[in-house]
Amino acid sequence: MEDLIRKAVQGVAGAQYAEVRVHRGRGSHVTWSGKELEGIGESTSLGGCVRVLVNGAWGFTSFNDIADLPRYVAMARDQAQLIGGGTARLAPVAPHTGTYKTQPQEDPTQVSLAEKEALCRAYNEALRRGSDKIKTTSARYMDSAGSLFFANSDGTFIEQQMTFCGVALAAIVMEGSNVQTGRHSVGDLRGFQICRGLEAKCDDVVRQAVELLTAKPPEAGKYTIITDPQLTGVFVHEAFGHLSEADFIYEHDRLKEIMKLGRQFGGEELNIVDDASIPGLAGSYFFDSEGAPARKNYLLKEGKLVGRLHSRETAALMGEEPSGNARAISYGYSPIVRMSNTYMEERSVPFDQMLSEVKDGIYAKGFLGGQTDMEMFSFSSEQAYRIRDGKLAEPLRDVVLTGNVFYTLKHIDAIGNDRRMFGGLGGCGKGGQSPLRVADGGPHVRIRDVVVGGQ
Amino acid sequence: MPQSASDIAQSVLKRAKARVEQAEVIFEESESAGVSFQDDKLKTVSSSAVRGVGLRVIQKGRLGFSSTNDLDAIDLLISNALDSAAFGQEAKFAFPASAAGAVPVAQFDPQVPALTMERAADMTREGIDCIHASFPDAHCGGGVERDAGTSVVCNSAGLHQEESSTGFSMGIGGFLVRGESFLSVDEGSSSCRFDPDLMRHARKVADWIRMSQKEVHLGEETLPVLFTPRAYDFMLGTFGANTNGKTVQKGASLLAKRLGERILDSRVSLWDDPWVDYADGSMSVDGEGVPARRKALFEKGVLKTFLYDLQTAGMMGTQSTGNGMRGCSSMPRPGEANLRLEPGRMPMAEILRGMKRGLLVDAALGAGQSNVLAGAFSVNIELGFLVENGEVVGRVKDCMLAGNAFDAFNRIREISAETEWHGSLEAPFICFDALNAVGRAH
Repeated sequence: MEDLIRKAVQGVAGAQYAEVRVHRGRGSHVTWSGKELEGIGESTSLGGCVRVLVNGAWGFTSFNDIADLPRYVAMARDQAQLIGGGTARLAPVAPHTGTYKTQPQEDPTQVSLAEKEALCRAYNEALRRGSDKIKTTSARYMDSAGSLFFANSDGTFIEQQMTFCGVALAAIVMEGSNVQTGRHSVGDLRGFQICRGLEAKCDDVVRQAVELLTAKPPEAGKYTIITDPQLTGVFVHEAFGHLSEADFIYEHDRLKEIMKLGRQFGGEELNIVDDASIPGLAGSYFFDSEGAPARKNYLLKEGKLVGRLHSRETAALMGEEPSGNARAISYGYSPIVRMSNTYMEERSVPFDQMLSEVKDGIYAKGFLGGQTDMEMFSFSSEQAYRIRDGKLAEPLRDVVLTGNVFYTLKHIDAIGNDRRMFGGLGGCGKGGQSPLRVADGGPHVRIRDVVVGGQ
Repeated sequence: MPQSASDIAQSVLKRAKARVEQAEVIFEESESAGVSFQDDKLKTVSSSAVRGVGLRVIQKGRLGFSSTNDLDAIDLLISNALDSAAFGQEAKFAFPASAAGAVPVAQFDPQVPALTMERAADMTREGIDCIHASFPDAHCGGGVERDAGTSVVCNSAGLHQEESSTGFSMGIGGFLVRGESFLSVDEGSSSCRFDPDLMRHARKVADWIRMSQKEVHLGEETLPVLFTPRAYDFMLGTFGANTNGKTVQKGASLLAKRLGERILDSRVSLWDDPWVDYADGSMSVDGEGVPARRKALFEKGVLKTFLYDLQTAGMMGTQSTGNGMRGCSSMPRPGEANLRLEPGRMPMAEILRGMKRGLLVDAALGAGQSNVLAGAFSVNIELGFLVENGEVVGRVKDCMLAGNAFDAFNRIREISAETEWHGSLEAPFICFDALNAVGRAH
């Protein structure tokens, strides 16, 4: 198969550039929910895709029948030709060869299905006995492992062997017509050991759900908000990460002005980074889906825009360097510009001090969801508390925060010293490609003047 | 000579039957092609040829499942399904021997596979030209996609069900920047049938842009909100989650014990309807060979039924409603075919005219990202407008809208006479009496 891939990208008649990705993988999953084992098993997959650039225009084709690869290369070329010319060019990336493997401490593919099942059963039991208000629970395990081959006509031929695993826990409690959910999820490339020892987290999940039963929705209004490290990560991802994806900007003159390098977006304490090269995180990789190496990219440094996320195409057209952020969720899709591991760097303010300085506000923890239209964004927390006179007060539920990127980043007024990173079984969605493995994080952060929906 | 989908499915079934007590095979293959425009230009022509096979087994009374898209790995597929069944849930059903009584539904339009990519590109280009005629500085994107596929479900009890279907989707959007304010508008549609009229979507995009020229900011107020047919799907998601047989079986549905009770406004009738010719979610049998049928989830506001697949129905001591939804890589789960909300009597324009002060909302950011089961929502108005004395006065930005789906559907001011299809949803405009909005002008 490797020979077939290598040959397929060489000397494609009429093409400026050609690339092939082939993925062979297996995945296993276990879901315990309530009184039942909902699903368990292992599945396999094999598929590939070809992307060909002809006269500045792209043809793309995806398939399962790898033996027919040469025919699909010709199809992609013909499709690109049909466009009759375009503006696409590629920034240079030095050719790479070799095999790159993630290094899971404990390899999930070596753990038996029986052990995975027993682990989920134990977590599910711990959740179920956590409270008499429990209606249902779920303890879900999943892993995936496989080889992703990439070859292009520049001479790159690499194999990336990636192993991912994680667990998601949930408890649903009910009281009358009040139904609430507690959640926790881990998931990244570090190995099966991260899935062990989550018994205490099961207790937290139940406690969180039960506490939400007594929580009240917030009054609508503008608040001073403190976000915990996980919600800070989502805030960074939604409020700024997506806007720094160059495929949004590169052919739009007005946006290029707005997103000009050097522009001040926030205070001098504000650094935002995207870094796929950190080993072991959910959004980590060695090379992106077009063979560009992963690297650390500062997006904001001291509040100034200093970089952005690129594919080879957007980098060429903006005269910047490829950042290694062209990613596809699977062989079924063309790579598009995406985040990897995105975070706000820590500063010096301890959480206690940050809290003590807030007379009236909201402390929002954990993440339920987030979305952006690039300018406006919303993100919702799992748990929240009212802050009164510098202390945490009554619990709140259904706290959804909204903001506008140009306004909100300027209203960050304290950045904590306690950064953490979060992966999990979820992911990011863009352009119909979801979920993409990403990690987000940051320290506790205080933001003034955030709009919160409510009654 | 390539094998037909039925041959492949039967050959996998035959090999499985040699090692397994009871087996069910689902095989799917499809070919698709499409054009994609970004920043006004045709960027990519794509195609795909994908297939996959799923194997569900009942061994010693227990369910097992596995899937693959490597047709050279069928022995491993069978072993994986058996390994799965060593732990699996007790099977509470038998594989059906036939899909007798299934109602045929049109799902295949020969015009779809015949569509050339040149024509697809021309259609999109005309749409973009239409938007540019009014707004030359709009950056437009969009595209047209077609697919055609065959799905086979067969099992060791004798069922063999093959269905071929087509899919056609088109979309177009415009993006504008005024100062530092962004405006993004998208329109589109999808069904099993070829539809040459992309221009209607382009005209609608231009209309939305026209309405958005002026921006207004709200403080906090409670006001009536008129949602377009696609804008309140997150509320329907609450009703979908609570009427899903799986949620009911798990004890997590707020409606579990309320069959026959009036839950929503008596003007609300919500149907699950698989029998609409060429609609996105239509089917004559579900993913496990059970005939699909039309049923009311709510009729005149009264809760009528929950949706079940075979296993969930078996656990609840009832019958499958023909709602076993799946692809070839997953076990079936209860799910809706097409959701249809019955229209009311008043034309949308008249509802708008009667609005003294309110909002018209077409898109929400963060929908479905709060407590869906409880119906609580708090969303940013991505595309919405302030209406005064029946006239749109400007686009509302940086504003949250909060409420509860159950409450909102008991405080309906008006349901429009006209409906629109969006994917597998057919819905009217709905004006809710009073929702709470809070904006930056607070």
